[in-house]
Amino acid sequence: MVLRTRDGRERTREMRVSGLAMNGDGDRTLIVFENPRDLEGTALLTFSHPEESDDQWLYLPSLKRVKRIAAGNRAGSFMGSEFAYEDIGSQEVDKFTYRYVGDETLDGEEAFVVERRPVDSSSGYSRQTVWVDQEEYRPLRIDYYDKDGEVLKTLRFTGYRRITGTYWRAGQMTMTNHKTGRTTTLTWSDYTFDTGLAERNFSPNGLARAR
Amino acid sequence: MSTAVRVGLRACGVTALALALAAQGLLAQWRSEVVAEGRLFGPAYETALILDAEFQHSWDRGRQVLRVAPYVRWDPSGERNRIDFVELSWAHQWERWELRAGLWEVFWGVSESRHLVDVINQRDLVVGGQGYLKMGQPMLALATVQSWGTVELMLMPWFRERRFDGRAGQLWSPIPVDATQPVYESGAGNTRLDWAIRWSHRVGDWDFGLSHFSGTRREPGFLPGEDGSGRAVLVPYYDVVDQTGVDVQWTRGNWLWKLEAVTLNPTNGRYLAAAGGLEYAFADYISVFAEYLFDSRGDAATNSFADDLFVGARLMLQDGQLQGGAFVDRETWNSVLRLALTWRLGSSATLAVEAGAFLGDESLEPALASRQHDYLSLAVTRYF
Repeated sequence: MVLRTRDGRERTREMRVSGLAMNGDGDRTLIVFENPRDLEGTALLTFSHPEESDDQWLYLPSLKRVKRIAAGNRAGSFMGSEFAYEDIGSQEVDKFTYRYVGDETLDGEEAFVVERRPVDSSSGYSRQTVWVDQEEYRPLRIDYYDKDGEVLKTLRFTGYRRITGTYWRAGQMTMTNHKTGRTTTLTWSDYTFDTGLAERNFSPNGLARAR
Repeated sequence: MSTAVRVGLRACGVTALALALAAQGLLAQWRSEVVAEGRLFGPAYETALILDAEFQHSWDRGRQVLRVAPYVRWDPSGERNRIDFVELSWAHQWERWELRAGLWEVFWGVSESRHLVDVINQRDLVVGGQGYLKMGQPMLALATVQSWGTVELMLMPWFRERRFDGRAGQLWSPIPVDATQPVYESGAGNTRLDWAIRWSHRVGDWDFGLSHFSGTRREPGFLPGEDGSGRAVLVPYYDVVDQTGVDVQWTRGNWLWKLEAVTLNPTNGRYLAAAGGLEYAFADYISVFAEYLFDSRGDAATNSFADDLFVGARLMLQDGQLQGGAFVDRETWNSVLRLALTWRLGSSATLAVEAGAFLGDESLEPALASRQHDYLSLAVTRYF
């Protein structure tokens, strides 16, 4: 993850992200930081829920302490980046209401344009406009509108690859904040699926071993 | 690395190349940091070079884990040197059970200001700046995770004494502490078999833990004595206690409510201590907390947490973290302030500055000489 300020200053964060899709509940996500080195081993575990607010735990390796943290702030910035927690968390269908806007060509690809409004009032957005390509239903672009209805951020998905012949995943996700001029680029690599991870790998008790 | 080892073993004749590869792989599993530290503590000045390393290796499909974490501290003055293990343990995991043997560090509890429930490890106050470092506790532990909660059972065959060398020996009290002749309540001395059990569970927004410790108390009392040359000294006295503790956290939106309390029965009478309050997270990068600390021993408490307020704040920055807190005695208004800043230098180094100050009338709390010194420390850490 590269954080870039308006004047071009860059900061890099590296992390390992694992996810587990759940039946009857939102996904579970584990993020373990690798770089910068003073954060190495710090782990963030999220249980996302379709309707209630998420549960989150933070493991601090220097204290060997697992802390349950406030997950109420969905609109807050993830690690100082332009991504809010709600932008990177699992995109549960039930978290929005939808309206089909029309068809458009985006960068040479035929796309459906859909407007979605968050159900949860603690969301930082009034609405989002999503461009989804018509062939594979991959999101190409999302515009985020703030509570005043002004466009706040734009997320672009590029470098789509088909992993293990089944799942389409973006190689890069770049979020641009139009108000501050800052950008954050998430570059994904080494995707693996069906890794044998189970619920016990996503438990607050197991965070100390997440390294 | 595991491939290199397997290839080497399968070939039976372990070649020098395979060994070299394995060694390189093993080396890559080490995480270490070197800290250069300078401190002003009351009238004393201290410097130290610290190596803090950690090695983890897992095999058997991740079911078995070996962890080694040495801690080496070198002080040019020759005092406060340490060669120790924070962790040296082996663990075997099954679906719902875990067995672990060796020595390691445990954290229990929820409060920010004071860790009452957290009693497994001895604390080293000499090298820990204004706080403390934990010393690895030798033990055998069995844990199980069930739908009704997590239960841990620990057997601790060997007690580790608190250190009073260097600064602490001189500044703890006007009379020096002689740690070479500790007195134990238990006839077995430091080899009494201590035990502890903890049940913890999560139900919705609630996290709670119930724990019991039975053994030699980590925090000593003091008895008057004489050293070899007939000088008056204080000797540490370790009594045997049964301590029952509870910790609860309720996480609701941006609010976190926390409480931990313990009751124990030392030689001089049962008492109750508690710490609790709330934390409010404005966003994930800034939170403030306020807690109240209670100790039923009142002024006779071995620390000044009898009737204190604690207020603090934590601010996460793009390149670091700033944390501040203040303990305020509700009766005397004596205060202990602390401010800590960690600043990132590139991706593999940090600079940490910590300052502490005592405000108020020292004569009101003579038992607390150690906390009444102003304090400043500077540390540069390089990660390898």
